[in-house]
Amino acid sequence: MMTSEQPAEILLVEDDPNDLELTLHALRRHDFAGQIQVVRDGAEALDFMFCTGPYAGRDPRHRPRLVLLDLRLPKMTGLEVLQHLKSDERTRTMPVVVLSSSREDRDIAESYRLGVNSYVVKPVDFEQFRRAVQQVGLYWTTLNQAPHT
Amino acid sequence: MTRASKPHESASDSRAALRISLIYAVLGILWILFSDRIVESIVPPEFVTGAQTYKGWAFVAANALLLFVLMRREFRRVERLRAEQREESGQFWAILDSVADAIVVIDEAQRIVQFNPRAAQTFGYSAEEVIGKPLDILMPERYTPLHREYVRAFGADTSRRVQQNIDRELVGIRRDGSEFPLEVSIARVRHQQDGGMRFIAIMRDISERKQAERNLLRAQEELEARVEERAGALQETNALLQQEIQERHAVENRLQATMLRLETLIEHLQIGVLFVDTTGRVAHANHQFCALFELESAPGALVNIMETEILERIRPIIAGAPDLVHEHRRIEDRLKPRADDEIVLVDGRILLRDYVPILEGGQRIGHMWEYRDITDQQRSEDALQDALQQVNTLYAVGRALIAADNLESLLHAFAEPAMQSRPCNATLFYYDLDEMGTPEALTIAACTDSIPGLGSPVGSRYRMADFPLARTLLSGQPGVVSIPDVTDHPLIDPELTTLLLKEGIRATAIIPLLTRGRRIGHVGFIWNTPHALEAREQQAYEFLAPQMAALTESRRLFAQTQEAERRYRLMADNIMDMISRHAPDGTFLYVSPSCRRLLGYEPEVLIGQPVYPLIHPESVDTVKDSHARLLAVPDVETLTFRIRRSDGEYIWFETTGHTVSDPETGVVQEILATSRDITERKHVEQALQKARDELEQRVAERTAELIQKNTELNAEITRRMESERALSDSEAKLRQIISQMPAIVWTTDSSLRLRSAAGGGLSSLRPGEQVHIGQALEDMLHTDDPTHPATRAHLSALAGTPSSYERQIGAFTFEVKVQPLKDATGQTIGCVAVALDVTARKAAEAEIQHLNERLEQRVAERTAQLEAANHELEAFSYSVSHDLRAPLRAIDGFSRILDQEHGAELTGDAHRYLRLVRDNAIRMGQLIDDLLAFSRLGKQSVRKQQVAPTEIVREVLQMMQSELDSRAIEMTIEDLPPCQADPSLLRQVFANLISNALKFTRNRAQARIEIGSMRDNGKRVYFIRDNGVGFDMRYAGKLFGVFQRLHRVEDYEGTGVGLAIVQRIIHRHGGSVWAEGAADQGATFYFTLGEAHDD
Repeated sequence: MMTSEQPAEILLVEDDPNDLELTLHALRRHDFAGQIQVVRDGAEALDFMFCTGPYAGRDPRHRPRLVLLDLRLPKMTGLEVLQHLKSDERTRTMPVVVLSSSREDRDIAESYRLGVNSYVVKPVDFEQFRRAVQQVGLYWTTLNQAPHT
Repeated sequence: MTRASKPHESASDSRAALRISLIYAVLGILWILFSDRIVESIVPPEFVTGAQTYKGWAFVAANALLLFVLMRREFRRVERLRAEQREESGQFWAILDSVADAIVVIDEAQRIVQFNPRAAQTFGYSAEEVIGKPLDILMPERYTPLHREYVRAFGADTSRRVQQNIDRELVGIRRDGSEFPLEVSIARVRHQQDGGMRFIAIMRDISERKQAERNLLRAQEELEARVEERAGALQETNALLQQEIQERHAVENRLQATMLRLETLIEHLQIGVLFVDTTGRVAHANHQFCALFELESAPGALVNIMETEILERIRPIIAGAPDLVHEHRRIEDRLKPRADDEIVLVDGRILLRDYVPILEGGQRIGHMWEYRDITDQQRSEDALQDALQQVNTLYAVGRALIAADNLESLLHAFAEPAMQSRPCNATLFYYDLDEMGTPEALTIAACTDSIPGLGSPVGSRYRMADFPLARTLLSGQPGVVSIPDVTDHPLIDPELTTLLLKEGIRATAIIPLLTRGRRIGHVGFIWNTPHALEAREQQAYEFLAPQMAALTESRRLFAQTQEAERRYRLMADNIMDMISRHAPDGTFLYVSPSCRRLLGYEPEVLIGQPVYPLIHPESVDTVKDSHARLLAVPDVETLTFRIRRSDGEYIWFETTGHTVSDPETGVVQEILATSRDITERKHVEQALQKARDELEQRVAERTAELIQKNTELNAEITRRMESERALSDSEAKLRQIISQMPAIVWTTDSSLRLRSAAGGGLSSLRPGEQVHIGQALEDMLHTDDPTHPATRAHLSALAGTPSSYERQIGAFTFEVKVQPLKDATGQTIGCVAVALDVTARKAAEAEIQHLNERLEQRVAERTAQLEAANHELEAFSYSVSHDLRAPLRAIDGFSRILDQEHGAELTGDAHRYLRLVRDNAIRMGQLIDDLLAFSRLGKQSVRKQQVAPTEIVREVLQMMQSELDSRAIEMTIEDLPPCQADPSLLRQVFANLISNALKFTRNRAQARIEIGSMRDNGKRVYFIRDNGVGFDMRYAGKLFGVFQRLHRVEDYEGTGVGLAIVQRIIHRHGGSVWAEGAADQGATFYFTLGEAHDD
């Protein structure tokens, strides 16, 4: 799923294969043209971002325009990933959107405390879900002006 | 002429007839024999025939004359006899009518034929009413058969004519039905006319006599009651003085003897009777009369003697020899009975005299005197008065004796009875006894001064040898001695007489004082003129002497032991523990002032009060059991119980009880108790520690003081042999106090050698092994090692600094405080140490420590468990919120993708199934959301504030505006009063209830929804009423359950959580929610909110 030739525009951190497929489906159906990098757990997400582990050879200058982050992840939770990203100088300005099934107040509050850029609850209704993913993807990859690094 | 001649009258009449016939026959025969010859001899023959005719006429005429004369004589005689009889009979009935007894005459058929006025008075019937009636009406029915039989038997027994004093008492019945006792005698006569039998019953109403007997009996009972009362009072007096019990018995015995005498005096009252006729002659007198007036003649001999002569005869034996004749004349003029004149005879007897006139038709035909001897009655009343007065005197003096607080007033009280008859000087002598108990000297302990210049000053001391009067007395039996005149008395020799007269003493009375068989002194009364102590006074002093002796002894001992007593009391007063003395029934005899601090009562308040009411009801039995054990087997008992303070609070007491017994009899006299408040120990350890420190300090101080004083005391004891017993009592108490303190007190000299040791703690060192106590103490001191804390503490004390250390002996822990022991000059001469057994306290501390640790551990464990549970719950909730949704989304997502992207390949049914799959997924998602919302409510805090429900309802309705607009709904909203609630939660409640109402009225052409409030039982109730499909009340209980639905999903959508949420919110507010409804009849939901701030 990953291609090394083109730098990824969205990093999708998702362990649930169903949600992964639905998310990708939603993005694709919207003719999202950019490269989507998928990682399946928190540790891999950090490896990718900081070019470590399996991603040691990756060019650190290529940074995705958006990180879509699930909270329920194996090994390292989404909140931990968020904390690492937002506490590191190199990744602090990266837009991170949490895409989670959880409506729990504490998840939402904690995410914002750690500096998340947006928090989107995955609706059960697929139509709503698709609209949400498409709008988020569109907004952050096209409308949003990221700071230059 | 007598009544006995009457039966011969008919015989006499026939004889008279015979006589007349005989005379007639003789004359006839003589006439026949001689008349013819006489005629033949004197009449010529030619005339004989004519003469015969004349002769016949002459004969008839002569006989007729003779018969007339004879018959007239006889008839006259009979007439005279009859007249006499009539007169006699009238007299007989007149007597019957006037006698004081009721007389009833009955015939053989037992019908009443005669009824005298007294009988009429007695029975209440008039003669006319009863005559001809059966006798039965005069007696109660139960006696009738018996009586009839009796009369019949008497009638059949011709041997007796009179039956007197029927041996059983009869009972009569009056017309008004009342019964009364009767005394009856019966006489039998034959009626002269019909020859039938008559019974004359002479009856006497003896009610009055019975009444008199009862009165006397009642007087007796009253006496008993009064004596009883007085005896009770005496008992009260004697309770104060154990020694007087025997004397009290003596009084009671005397009283009982008096009562016995009175009993013997009660006899039936005999009446002496003298009957006098109108001529002033005695018609009748009885034995009792003769006996009363000591006339030696038989009663019969008095008959026909003039009454005046008899009165003269008895005059000398009547006190004052009154002119009885005159007096009687005066009385006799009266026609009415006169009762109850009192006559006193010279020999002291008192007679009660009744005068009864005997009347016949208003005419007095005689009179009767009745004399009753009421001497014994009078005397017994006097004796009763005397006895009571004596008891009163003894009681008053006894009280005064007890009240006297010094020897002087004691003597004054004692002398009072003697002083009342004549002023005297009283002197209280006290003997010094030698070792054998024999008096060897006497001291004047107190003296009254009624006769100035008589007697000797108080404090004078004489050798027995120099006091001959006392010496004389001592040789005789102990008892009250009265010497009315010293110049003439066998006990006084001429030498002593001279001596006494020189002193101005003319008469004296001596009352020896004895306690426990020892003569301890005497009281002497002296007069300067001859005077004898009356027998009654002597008797009183015999009774009072032992009390006086006991009180004198106790006053003396009291004075002598006051100092020692004061010291012990001071010590007891200052010990922190409460020391109390109790009577065997638990009454407080003494309470140390610590009770003020421990219980909050003033000691004076408790003294004389029973202890049990203060004890907690749950502890009372324990304490009573303990007391009972102590009284049964004197021993030491320690028990713990709760006792009420003056402020009503109960505190824990640990009390050690010990009995104090009479050294001679072994009878338990009191219970000595040492009590401490162990509430402090249990609850406020620090305060306890402080209190103990103070206690230790004080005990140490007091003990040191005590030991010093004990030494002084011992010297005093040696000096005063006579106070030995009292002192040993006090010392025993002191030892008991110390021996009950859970401490050991010892002293050492300046070389740290053990000098003395005492205290209840000793027994805990080596229980039952006296021989090892010394060793144990040495262990406690441990003075052979200069580095040991014990030695260091003693050395420190020797140097002047109090010190303390802890010592473990066996299982016991002692805390030892050592203080310097100083002599009177302030020089340190050793140490005094107080070792307190703190084993229990240490154990308690350890136990508390242990409990605290366990508690903390358990709290930690519990907290951990709770945290874990919480954690799990949160994890669960989190999982629900996160993980359950993901699969639903997948179902919905993929089915939708399938439908949209591969729809062409699917059949129509497949499309529908896919939609159903998606609907279920969405519905499942809704369920999860609702459930989470519901569970979040449990955690969310309720922030109450003043809210206006009307506003909230308006907001909710605004949100539902589109539905309201699209339907025909009649919405009624009352003005809802403000309340205290969390606004957002209350909005949720209204939203859920209103949307419910909307939902279930959907199929109504005209929906009606009413929102309002009302008051129910003082509570504000809000309600939402609709006219929807309603529900069956049978399922009302399920309405508010989570996921509980009463309608099909196809008909009314929903997850069944809305009302559960409503209920949870209402409950979180402290309110309640309920519903009323019926199927298809609409529903009403009511709720209240917490009432605290409601109007």
